[in-house]
Amino acid sequence: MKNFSSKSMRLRFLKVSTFALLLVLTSLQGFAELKIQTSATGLPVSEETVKAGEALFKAKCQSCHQLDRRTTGPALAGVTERRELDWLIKWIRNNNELRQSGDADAIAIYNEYNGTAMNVFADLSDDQIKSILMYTENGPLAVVNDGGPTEPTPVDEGLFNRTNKILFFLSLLVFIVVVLIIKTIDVVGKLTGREVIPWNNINAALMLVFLIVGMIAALYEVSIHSKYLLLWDSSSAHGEAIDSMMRITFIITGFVFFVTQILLFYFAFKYRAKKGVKALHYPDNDKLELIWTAVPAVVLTILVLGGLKAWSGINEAPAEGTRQIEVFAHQFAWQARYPGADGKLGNANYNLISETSNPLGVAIPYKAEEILKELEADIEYYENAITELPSKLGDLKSTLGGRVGSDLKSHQKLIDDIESGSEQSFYELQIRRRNTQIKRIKTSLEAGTLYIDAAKDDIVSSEIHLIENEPVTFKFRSRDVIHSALMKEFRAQMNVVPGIPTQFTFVPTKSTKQKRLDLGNPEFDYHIICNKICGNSHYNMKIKIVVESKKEYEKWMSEQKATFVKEEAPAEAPAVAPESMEVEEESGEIALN
Amino acid sequence: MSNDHGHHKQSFISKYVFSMDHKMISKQFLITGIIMGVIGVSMSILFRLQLAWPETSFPILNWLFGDQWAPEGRLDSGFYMGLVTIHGTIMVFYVLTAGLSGTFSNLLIPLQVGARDMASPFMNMLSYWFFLLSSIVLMSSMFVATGPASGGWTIYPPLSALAKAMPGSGVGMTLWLVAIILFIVSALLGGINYISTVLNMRTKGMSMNRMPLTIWAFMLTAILGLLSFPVLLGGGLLLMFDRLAGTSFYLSDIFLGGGVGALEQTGGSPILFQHLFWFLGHPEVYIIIMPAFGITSEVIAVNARKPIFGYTAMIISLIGISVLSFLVWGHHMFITGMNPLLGTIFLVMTLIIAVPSAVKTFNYLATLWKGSIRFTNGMMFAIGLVSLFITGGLTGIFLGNAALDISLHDTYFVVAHFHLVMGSSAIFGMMAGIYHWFPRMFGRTMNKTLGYIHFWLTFISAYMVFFPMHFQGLAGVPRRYYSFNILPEFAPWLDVNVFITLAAILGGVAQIIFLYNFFSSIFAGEKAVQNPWQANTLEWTAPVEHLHGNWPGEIPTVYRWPYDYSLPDADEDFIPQNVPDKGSSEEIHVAPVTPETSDAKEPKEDNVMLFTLVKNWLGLGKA
Amino acid sequence: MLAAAKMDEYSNRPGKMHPKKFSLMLLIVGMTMLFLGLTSAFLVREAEGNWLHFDLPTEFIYSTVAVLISSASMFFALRSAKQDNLISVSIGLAITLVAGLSFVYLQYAGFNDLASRGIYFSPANGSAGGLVSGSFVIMFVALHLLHLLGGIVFVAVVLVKSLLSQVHKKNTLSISMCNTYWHFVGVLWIYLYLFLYFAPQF
Repeated sequence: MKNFSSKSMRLRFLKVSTFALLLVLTSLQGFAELKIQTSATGLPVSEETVKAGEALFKAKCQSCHQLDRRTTGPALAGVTERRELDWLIKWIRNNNELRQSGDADAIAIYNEYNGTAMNVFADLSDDQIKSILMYTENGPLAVVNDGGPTEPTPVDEGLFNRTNKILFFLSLLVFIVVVLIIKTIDVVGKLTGREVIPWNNINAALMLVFLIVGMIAALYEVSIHSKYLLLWDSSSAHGEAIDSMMRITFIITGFVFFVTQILLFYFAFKYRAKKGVKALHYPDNDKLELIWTAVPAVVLTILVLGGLKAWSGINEAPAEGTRQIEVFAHQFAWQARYPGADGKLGNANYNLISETSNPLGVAIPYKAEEILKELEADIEYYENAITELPSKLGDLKSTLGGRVGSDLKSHQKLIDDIESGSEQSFYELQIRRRNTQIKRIKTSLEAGTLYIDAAKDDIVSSEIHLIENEPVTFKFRSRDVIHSALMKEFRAQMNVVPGIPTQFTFVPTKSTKQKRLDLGNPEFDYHIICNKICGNSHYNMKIKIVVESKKEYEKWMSEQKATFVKEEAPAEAPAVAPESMEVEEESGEIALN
Repeated sequence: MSNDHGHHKQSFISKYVFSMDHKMISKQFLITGIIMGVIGVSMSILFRLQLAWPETSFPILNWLFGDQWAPEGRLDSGFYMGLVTIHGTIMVFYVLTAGLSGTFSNLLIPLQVGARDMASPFMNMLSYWFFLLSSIVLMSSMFVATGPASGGWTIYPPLSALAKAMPGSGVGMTLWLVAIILFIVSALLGGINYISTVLNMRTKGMSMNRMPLTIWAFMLTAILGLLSFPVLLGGGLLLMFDRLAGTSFYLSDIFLGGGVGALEQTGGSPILFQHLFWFLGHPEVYIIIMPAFGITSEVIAVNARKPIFGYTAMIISLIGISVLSFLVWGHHMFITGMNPLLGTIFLVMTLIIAVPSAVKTFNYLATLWKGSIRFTNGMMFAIGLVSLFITGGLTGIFLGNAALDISLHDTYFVVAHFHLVMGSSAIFGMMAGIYHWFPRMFGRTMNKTLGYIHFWLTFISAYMVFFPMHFQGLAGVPRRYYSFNILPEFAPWLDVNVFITLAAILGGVAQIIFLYNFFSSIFAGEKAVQNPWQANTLEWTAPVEHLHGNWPGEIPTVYRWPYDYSLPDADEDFIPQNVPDKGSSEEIHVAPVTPETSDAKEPKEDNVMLFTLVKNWLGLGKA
Repeated sequence: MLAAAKMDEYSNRPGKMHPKKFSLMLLIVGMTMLFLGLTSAFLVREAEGNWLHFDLPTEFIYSTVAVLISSASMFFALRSAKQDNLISVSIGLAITLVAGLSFVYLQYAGFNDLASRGIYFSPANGSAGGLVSGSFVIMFVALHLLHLLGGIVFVAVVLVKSLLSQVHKKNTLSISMCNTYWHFVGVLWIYLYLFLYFAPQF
């Protein structure tokens, strides 16, 4: 891969430094773009804070929020003007807790979004949350097309402008006139007994026209879109086998496509009914049938054999000692867990999951104890909630008056839920669930086999780092529903199923840096994106993959904290590396080169 | 015994509402199927507005769906998935299964095999009413507080099993399951009737190998349905239990956010659902396309004035497709982490099933060759079906190849593939059938000019909508995405989305032309003659005005196969099946049937089995 | 009604089954597929492990005996109909009905036995570990019971018809169809019982 001739070194340096320049320039561009002077967060407004906030926003919030419009969750621009800072911090860190404490706003939001709960971000510090909020106040730093709408485009502009409306009605008018003319001609034809318009010949000719225009259009589309297709330049070892299979299939099916469509439309045109010409009564030809059964069979057999070869290559069991990374999916984000210095992943179990203290449910004894305490507190909360139901109902009923619209609806729903008994059943169900969970955790603690030492040095991260040209096995685990990890550049995909661990092994053969050069895009990154409908934010669930040299990887790894080492001082630095760190790495790398 | 009950006194209710006459029931299926189709297509246009113009606010969305589901005129992301889900459910089941099989099997089976009605007219009536009830239940799920089912029409658990995983997985999902159970009952009742009628109630001389290809297709479709729908019923039942009774058939190791926490269920397998679902799901797509094929065979033969090329080969292909369709379901599950050996088996079987479909296509081309083609509306849609099926079927070859499926599964490539084979091809088959048999159903003809406009606009828009999607899929764009802003490399496809949505709107508008033509022709269309297309099959020997019991007097006796078109020595270019022996090119049949008295024993020919057919075709049987 | 008149054309053709009876056989094919699909699911799941094996209640053995008795009496009733022995028809049908109802009772007793051992349909009631196997077994038995109840209704209807002297040599269609369905439900039970009994060895 690395060529040390001086000529290519110079070339490489040139390419890379142009890149660096572009990067620096793009980041410099934002320098003058602070839109706000003061912030409701109380922190001094600075470019660094906004950038840090932006990075956190992209890592944590973007799967459900945009600034300028509602997606899965509300639009966040100006949120600090709508809500108090203290409330926001509590909500963002643990909206479930806020809701359970009876906060009316929290409950209202939950109902407005049809019971879709926001994720819990217990690991964010106050400062981190404030930086995110400052980002929402300021907006993105880099200048995109100025005048991007901060409100959804109102109807009169954009699509439904006057010109479009006029065009639409005009074409409707033209269409109606054409239809009326045709109908008149038809009626005339019926009265005179002759067919005025030779429809049969017209349609036959149209068949031919459609063929020609269609073929041109198809070829045109191939020509403009081929550069986006994943048919070349894969970034994994098995990728080329798949790509070449894909190209061969494309060519074969393309050939059949052209031949059969041409025959179809040509025959339709040529054999249109002509006066005095009778059809040929030709009911069958067994030899022909055999031929066109055998030929597709043979061609398909070739494709099958090629496919089998590729398929078995991909499904080969990984070699002993292949690096393993657990990729954990949940609604609506991914986490990666690295085995740490001992090279072995610890165990995990869904009963040990706690959104605040152990989101991946890794089997560590002290974490298990922590969770037992949380669960017992939960049970107490639910038991209290049950006893307080009558008085809560009274409160709700007395404050019902004077409410309107969706506020009234959600308030009434709360009342209905209590009166129908469903609220109480829910609490009882939760108590039963927590008790089952406690029992299971206690059983596992007694048995002890789940809690292996390998877990102690595991590292949880929101980024996946891979070493170029080294095989890696992704061990997939889902927390809630079926997700699917699609890694398109690597020609890899695997369902992530709760209760059934899956895995995929491959060798990344092209580093992120190299891919950026290939594409001429300094901002490119590899990602896993979710590819199985998993809920309201399915369309925004991704995690970045960085493919780098072994040295870079080890440098990054050395900067990661072992997630499960108990620390006395509360960690200010996040266990999650925000994206901004990568820029510094880049500049560092350039200097070395 | 006279069977003339033409003047049998019927009330409005028993004639038009609770009718047990197969012709009326077929019209009921058709109208309900069309209404559901309009709803389904409208939903697709509405949700495509989101894909094309994600930042634009559309007041119509807010007007239709209210603040809850389309706040500020933009679809809620969960409700978007609800529309996608119900769109898929409606189109696959309600339009293309009930609307297609239900209509044409009911209309044509008794008329083409020469029976007075179905084996059990009462069960037939029930079949329709269960279908209607199912439709109502499904549509009612749009109005519940938590919204309609939203996990895709494939409703995989755990997403579809857990009300807290997605709003649409609440009551809406339960109603979806109820609707599907009712639908399955309807499909089974209908299918049983179809099979029974074809096998037991054919008229004298109508041996199996004198049946039109439509009947073969409908019968095999019904057999497929009978064997596969119950498995979906089982899978759906288990899902219902998981939802309502806390069982763990499909659920295991689940922790839900939002304060719910760890669930108790262990030991379940979500993949089990997929097996049970796709065991129906795959035959289902053949249940959809085979009637369309059957209709196409008939329409092309009649309008090219030629026998369908390779009648026996067509039958064997249909049978081959039917058998193989039960062995390929795993190709929907290549990337679930299944045992690679299993994947290998499904890969091989899937590519084998491409062969009979290819054979059918070539046979259609050969039928057109040296024909004398009349471009009736039905014929144009039939030709359109062949074109669309070629395009869609070829992309199936990519997807059946497991290694390629790794990159293509659940991307827009799959969406393009199934919309071309089902959403376009099969719909064109349905349209061909409607135009072709409208005179038989309503005693009038549809306006052919409007038909031409309808065809061309629909055909062009179908390609414009679905062809570009292949490229989106090959670029890695996933399906069921509310918006494309997850990755910058998807940005080039935003313009394509606009193009596709505009083409879809054009296609939708074209259907308005059809709807106007269809409904106005029912009441004010030109009155039809008895055999407007000069076809050979028996349904055209019945009088234009519908009779209870179909024929006044005796049922016609059949003397030849249905494809004696353009016989060299004949006066006309067609010879209906009930015209006695005058030379025929059917080689397979053992001997022509001589007219018999009614006490004679049933001729053995009526039970010519498939084996004899195959033997003859291979040149091994007696001439 | 026209329907009945039409059916007369088809009911006495030599060598051919009455279309309605044929339709019933098709329905039975469909029901068989339902159980085949679910028993396959059972086998696949069982092979994955974490599966509690437990003994079936003895009440289910008595159920099987009831099945055999009812099938015998059903056969007797049909044969009596063909011989125009009207009283025997009613007796046969009555015995079948009683045997059927006792089957239902024995099933209920079987469920109670399972519950007493902590095996419930829904693991949420706190049943023993390896929860899914209990759900499957109970599901099979209950689904079969549902189909049996349909059969019981059918038998009752035919019994009433026979008491009204409408079941005789010239009109065996309904009792013949009832016979077919009843045997099917019986065979289905035997299949399920043997399947579940031998399941641990698969």
